[in-house]
Parts: sequence; C-alpha cells; structure tokens
Amino acid sequence: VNRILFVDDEPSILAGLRRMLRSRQGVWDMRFVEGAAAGLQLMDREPVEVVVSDFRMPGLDGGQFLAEVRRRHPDAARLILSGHTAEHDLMRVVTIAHQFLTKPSEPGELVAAIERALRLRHELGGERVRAEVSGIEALPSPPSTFCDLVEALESPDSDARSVAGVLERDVALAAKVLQLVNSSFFAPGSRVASLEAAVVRLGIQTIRSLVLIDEVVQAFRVPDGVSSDWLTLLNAHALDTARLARRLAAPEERDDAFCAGLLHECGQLVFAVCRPGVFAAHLQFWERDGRPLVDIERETFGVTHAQAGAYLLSLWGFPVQIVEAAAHHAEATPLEASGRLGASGAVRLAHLLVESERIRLCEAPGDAWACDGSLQPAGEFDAVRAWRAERAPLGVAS
Amino acid sequence: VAFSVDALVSFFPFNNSCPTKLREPLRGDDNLHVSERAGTTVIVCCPIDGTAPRQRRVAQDEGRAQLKHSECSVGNASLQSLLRTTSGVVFAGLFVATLLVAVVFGSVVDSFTHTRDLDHTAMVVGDASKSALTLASDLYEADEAVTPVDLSASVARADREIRGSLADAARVKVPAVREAVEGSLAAWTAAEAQIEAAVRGGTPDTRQLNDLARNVLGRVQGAFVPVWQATSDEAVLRVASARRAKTRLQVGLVALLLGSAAILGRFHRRVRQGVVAPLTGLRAASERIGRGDFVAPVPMTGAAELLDVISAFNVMADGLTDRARLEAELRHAQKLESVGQLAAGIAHEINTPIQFVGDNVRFLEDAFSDLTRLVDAYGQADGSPEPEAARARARELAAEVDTTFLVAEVPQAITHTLEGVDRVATIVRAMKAFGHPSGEHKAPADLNEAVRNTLVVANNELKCVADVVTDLGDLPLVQCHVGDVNQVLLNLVVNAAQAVTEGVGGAGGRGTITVRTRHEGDEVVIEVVDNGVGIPPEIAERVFEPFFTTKEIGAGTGQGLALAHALVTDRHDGSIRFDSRPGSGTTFTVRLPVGAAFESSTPMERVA
Repeated sequence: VNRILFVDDEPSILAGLRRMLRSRQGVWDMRFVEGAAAGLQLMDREPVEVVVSDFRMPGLDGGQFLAEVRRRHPDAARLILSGHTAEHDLMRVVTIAHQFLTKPSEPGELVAAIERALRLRHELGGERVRAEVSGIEALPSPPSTFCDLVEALESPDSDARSVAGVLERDVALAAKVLQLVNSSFFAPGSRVASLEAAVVRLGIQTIRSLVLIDEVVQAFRVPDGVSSDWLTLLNAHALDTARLARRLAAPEERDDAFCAGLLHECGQLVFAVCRPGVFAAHLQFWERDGRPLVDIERETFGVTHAQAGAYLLSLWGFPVQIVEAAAHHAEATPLEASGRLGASGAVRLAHLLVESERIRLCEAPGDAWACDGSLQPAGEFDAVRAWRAERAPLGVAS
Repeated sequence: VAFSVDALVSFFPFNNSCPTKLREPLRGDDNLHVSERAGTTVIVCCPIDGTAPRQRRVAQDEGRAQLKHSECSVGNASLQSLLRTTSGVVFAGLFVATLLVAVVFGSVVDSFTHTRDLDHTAMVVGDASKSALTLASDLYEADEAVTPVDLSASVARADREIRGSLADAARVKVPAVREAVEGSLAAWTAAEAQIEAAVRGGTPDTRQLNDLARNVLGRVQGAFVPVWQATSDEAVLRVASARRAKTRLQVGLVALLLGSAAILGRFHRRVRQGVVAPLTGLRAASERIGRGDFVAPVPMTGAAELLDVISAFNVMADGLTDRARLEAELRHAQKLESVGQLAAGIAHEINTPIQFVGDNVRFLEDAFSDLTRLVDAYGQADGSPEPEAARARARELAAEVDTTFLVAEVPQAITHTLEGVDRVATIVRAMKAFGHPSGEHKAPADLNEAVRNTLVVANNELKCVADVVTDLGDLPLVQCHVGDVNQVLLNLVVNAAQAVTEGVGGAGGRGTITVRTRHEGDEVVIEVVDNGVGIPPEIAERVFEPFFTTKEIGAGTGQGLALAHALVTDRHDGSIRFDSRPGSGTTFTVRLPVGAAFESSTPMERVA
C-alpha cells in the first residue's frame, strides 16, 4: 500500500482533503499532518511514497520542506499544492517539486497527479535508482543553450516561435518548460504539448526567470568515456525524431507526438547525470558489441534508460502518451502497422528511422530498420519521403 | 552683521517712538551688542534716537534662531531701492558738479577774456584823463596867472598822471589797447618835449603861455582819447562775448543736466525692466514651484545675463517637473505594487477556504449518495418478500459506506464548509472596505474598523512571520480619508512584517506585531509595534525619504513609508514618528486629529 503524506498549516484543508479522498482510503494509506516539522518527523518514522505539501506555511515553507524531504528521503515523490501565486516564490520550487498543483484544485486532479507519480514506481527496480531519478533537479543542457536562449529573449524581434526554436534544440530545457506549462500551477486549464504554445502560456518573463535559475540550465560535463559530441547528437536525434513523429502521427496526436519524440531519449540524460560511470560503460559495450543499448542495460544494470526516462516523465506529471512513448521507444516488439499511429507508435517508428538513416543513439547497427515495406503506402510512406527530402536539423550528419 | 529693522522691531519690545526712527537698517556694531552667556543670549540695543539702551535676554536657542532669521534678511536693501537711492545720489552729484563747473568756467572765461582788466583800465584811463583834463583846464582857466613855472609844474603833474594811467592801461594784454597806449605815450612825449622847449627857449608872454597851456590841454586830451576809446570798445566787445559764452555754458549745462537726468531715468527704467522685473518673476516662479505648481515657465525677458539665468531656471524647473512627475508615477507604482502584492496574498487567502469548502461539499455529495443508496436498500427491505435477506444486504451496505464515519464527519464537514464560506465573506468584506475610494472630502470613519480590515487584507503577509495582537481602545469617529488611512496602516504593518522577517523570521521563529489605538485629547493615536530588526540610528533621518530603501534593488520602491508620511502629514495634518531600538523593534506612532466628526457625531447618535 502506498503511503501518501499531506502537509498543510490549515487543519480545515487537511480535514477537507481527508473527507474528499475517502474513496481512496482502501487504495492508499493517507496521512494528514499539520506543519512541515511534523511531516518530517513522520517521514523519519515510516516510509512515504508521495508527499503533497502546501507552499506557504509558518516555519519551514513548502519549498524548504520539500528540499529537506529530497535530502532525507529522495525516493519520495514531491508535490506542491498551493493557492500561492507569486512567481518569485514558485521559481524556488521548480527544481524541487515534481508536480505543481494549485488551490483550489479540480476534482480528480489531485488524485490523477498522485497516480501519475505512483504509476511506474514499482517497475523501476530498486529504491536507489528511484531515489536517484526523483532527486534530479534538471537534465543536462548543451552549453550553447543559455547563450542562444538569452539572445532569442533579448532580440528586439523575439517571439514565441524564435524562443521555441531554441528550446526544441535542448531536450532538458524543453522537458522543464513542458513540465511547468502542464502543471495547473503555472497554466491552469488545458494541456499544452507544443513548445510555441508553452512559451506563450508561460510568458517570456517566466522563461527568462527559469533560464536564470542555476540548476535549470546546468553547466554539464560529458562523462569520461562518452564521446564529446554525444549530447549534441542526442539533442539532434530527439529533434529529428520529434519532427518525423509529428508527420507520422494522426492529426489530433501531432503535438503530443512531437513532444514525445523530443523527450523519448531523456532516459539517457538521466543516466548521464545519475550514473555517469555506468552509463559510459554501457555506451562502450553498445558500440563494441553492436547490440541495442536497452539490452545491455537490462543485463548489467537491471534498469533501462527507457524505463528511467519514463519514470522521470511520469514523476514530473507528463501525460500517459508521452510517458509511454519514452518507455516503449526501444522495445523490440514489432511495429503495429495500423493506418492511424498514436503518439507512442509514431515516436517508435520515427526513432527507428532516425536511428537507421541519420543518428544512431541506442539501437543495434543495421537491423534497426528493415524496410519501407511495412509503411502504409498512403500515409506514413509520404511522410517519410517528405522527411527524407528535407534538410536534417543542425548537427545531424545525413 | 546688519540686522533688518523688521526683525528687530518684532524682536524688541520697543516703545512706540522708536521703530519709526529705525527705518534704516541697523548696523550691529553700533547699535546691537549680542553676547551669549550660560545658555542665554543677551541682546542690547542702543537706539539711534539717543534714548536709553534696552536689553533683552532670551534663551540661547531662540536668540540664535532670531539672529539667524535676521541675518537672512540682512541686507538686503532691495535692488529697486538701491537703484532709486543711486539715481538720487547721482542726480544730486551731477547738479552740484554742474553748479561748480558753471562758477569755475565763468571765472576762467573772465580771466581769458580780460574783461575785468579792461573794465579797470577803462576806469583808470577815464579817471586819469579826467584828472589830466582838470589839470589842463586849471591851466586854461588861470588865463592871466600862467607862469612858466606853473606851467612846468602842471606839465610835470600831468605827465605823472598820464604815464601812471598809461602804465596801468599797458598792463591789459589786449593788443589794440597796448597799441593805443604806445601811440598816446609817443604823442604825449612829443607834446611834452615841445612844451619844455617852448618854456625853456623864449620868454613867454602871457598869451604864448596861454596858447601853450591850451596846447598841453589838447595834447593831454589827445593822449587819452585813443586809449580810452580802444579800451572801452574792446571792453564792450569782450564783455558781450563773455556774457554770451557764459549763457551758452549755462544753457549747455542745464541741457547736460536734463540729459543726464533723462539718461538716468532711462537707465533706472531699463534696470527695472531688465533686472528687477525678471528677478521678481523668478521669485514668483520659485514660490510657485515651491508649492508644487510646475505649469508656466518664466517668460524670457530681461537683460542678456538674466536671460541665461532664466533659461537655466526654466531648464531646472523642467527637470523638477520631470522629477515630480516621476515621483508621482512612482507613488502610483508603489500603490499598484502593494495592490498586486495584496491581490496575490488575498488570492491565497481565498483559495484556501475555497479548497476545503470544495472538498467538503464533494464529500457531502458522496455521503449523500451513499446514504440515499442505504435508505433505498432499507426501503426495499421493508416491502421485500424476504425482508431478512434484504435487511442483511442493507446492513452490509451500511458497513460498506461506513455510517459511523459519515455520522461523525458529515456535521463537521458542514461546519467547516460554513466556516470557509464565512472566511471568504469576511475577506471580501474587508477588501471592499479597504478598497473604499478616497473621495475629495474627508468623511467620519471608525479607525478600529480600518485596523481590523487592514489586518484581514494583509493577513497573508503577516501570518507566516508574526502573531498579530490588537489592543483597540474606544475611538470617536475620525474625520479622514479612510482609504488613505488604510494605505498608511497597510504600509506600516507590511513594514513591520518585513522587519520581523529580517529579525527573527530568518531563524524560523515568529515575531509579534501589535497594533494599538487610543483616544488622546483631540487626537486618535495608532501605534504599530514590532519586535523586528529595528531601525539603525544612522538611517533614522532618511526613513520617510522617498526612494530610500534598505531592500535590494527590485525588492521595494522605497515609497512605502514616504507615502505613509505624505498621507498622514499632508492630507490629514497628523504626525507620524517612530521610536526604534536596533535589534529589539520599532514603534511607529500615527496621530490623527479627530476633526469635526467628533462634535457632529455625538448629536447624530443621540438622534439615532
């Protein structure tokens, strides 16, 4: 039974939550605690899977409390539920909390958020890996992102498109922006999957504040034993996959497919941050043996980068389609050759095409893509042809 | 140091005769002796009308203030009166100078034209010729008795007379006269020689002697006529021309005097228009700007140097206008900032009850549907052919929906819901009262209510850092702009919260903010006390200065306390001061005059 901890300084809020969540009583073991100090005491006594905290509290506030939770119990998923709206304070928690919920929250929203945080929890092997993934503040960005983004933001004719153009070249920052824009905290209401819409919804000012947080755009040193242009290749691979997936997906899934394509390899970034040594070794085996990276990871480590990435995305509150696309992008299952590809299917197909024709990142050489025969003549084939005709994104050796 | 009379007149209790005589600025050395001894200033005044000296002792501070005040007005004969005095003095000087020039010039002219000598000569020559004629006519009259001896004596006398007179005449430096004198001398010498010869040579009979005497007479006349004539002709001529010259000179001088008077007048007018008028304009403009009225620039008229000054002044006034506008904008920005900050805080304050009201109502909805199902089950059991089995199912259902839980929780959920709704209502009511627009006119207001509303509105800023204690005394209604008072209270409590955050809040502790009100005389006193960091003495003087802030750039506009100060002192004639001990807290004290409301409210209440 998962233990969920609710922390607030208002007894009425806790009582209300307890009553509203009555129907989940059999599913979760819910604890309602007044104040951050009591919350920490409880967590020291018994393991807690998910923490839902208010932001503005006397004594330790939500940000300080969750930072302490991350230090002592990195394994727990950390959610903020607050009616506080000052952006200055929110920026403090963007790297600490996994999901951001606003008070008053929609019915079911809180439950869904907790479920997202719990969904892949038990698929991800040991507690240590989980703790490492949930302890991640941000993924590594290429060193050029900061300058490019500042330039795009300061330029007199800067607009959402130009800023989104910089974001889509950086998986890490794109993930952060999409995480924020899909939280009810920053953009209540609809779900946003396109980066351009995300920039518009968050506002240039928020993007600027975000860039200035040290942890968000990290100075990243590529681990020893990993080729120095690995990060560039990964970002180029992701963008290329995203563009192709958008072409391949059914019309209503296009934005999700793009977003999922951009984020599908984030598991490699997770490993590069958490376990640089192990990850470098895996990459060396992969190059030497010519076997898919996930197979090597599964054998030697027990957890694949696809699982780790999916877990992080799920923890960060991304919707099911995007999480699944990351989880299944490297699966050996045969492609479903239906006429209408969902986001996950489109990303898998696009990933394989990019792997075999442009940038190999995690599949075995040669056999990644068998033939065009399995493509549907009318839809996907045209899309692939159009993709082959267009110029590859920057940094992609065609 | 010179002291202006007005300052002294107001300072000294002079008797009534004295001040009018003291219309001239006093010179400190002569008329005033100022000394300071043991905290007292002794000022001795010796009035210039010779009355007995007066002395006055005042406290040193007052004395210094007075003297300082006097010094300020020293001097300070106005340019206009200076100009008037100068013109008068210059004109009088010119007049005297003109007179002197007239006198000196007249005598110079006289000495150059020798008119006086000529007059004298003419007189001397006239006298001489008269006496010579008398002599000759004596000879002539004494017809019978002329003897050579007599004749010689007469000639000798005539000779003395004639030569003396001619010598006198010869002193006149006029060529015509001198020529005449020389001619006359020569003629007389010749005549004299002839007579001598005749007297010595023969034996003159009476007839011959008589002829000779007549001859002498003629010669004497002959000797004087040309000189007399030349002298008198020249004298007439010269005197006339000298007189003309003097007249011209006088006319010229009068013209010069009038001309210079005209020039002085013109200069006076020019200075008045070109210097005094622009200076007056500048003074008026400075006063306008001092009152905060920046509308009209000073017109660009006056002397060239003053034009520079005026244009520089206008540039400065423009700058001040910009600054004033900027300050107004910043004040507005500060209001907006505090509104924005409040809005965020209030949103949070309202979101919290709405969250739990929603949760509770959702629970009630669930509970009600569970209970409905249970009621239905029992209802079915009553009419069922197998009541026992149906009742067992109903009991099962009752266990499933956990009726014990529902019975315990539903009333609480309802209570909480009502509480939440009440809280939202309280906040909204306080917001409405807080945001009450300040109209043009003051209106009676209950300041305790204002304190309560402000604390509700600011609760989100306060509750995390401090416990708020209120100690509200009985207050009369106060005639005020209640919106302004709300703003002042808000700025003070937010300031207190920040002081507490810096003081004890950082360590996770909590401070205390106390708001007290009381009625004192015709004032209402509001105190906001915190136990925060306190205000360091070195910045104490700048606390109410606009733009002064101890916070980081971007964290505050530095307008909060300045705005509070302006609202209290300028808009309400109240006072705001603080008393702070660094490290242990600050007390801000606002005093507002009760105003007319106190008197008018009592009968109104009686009527009600």
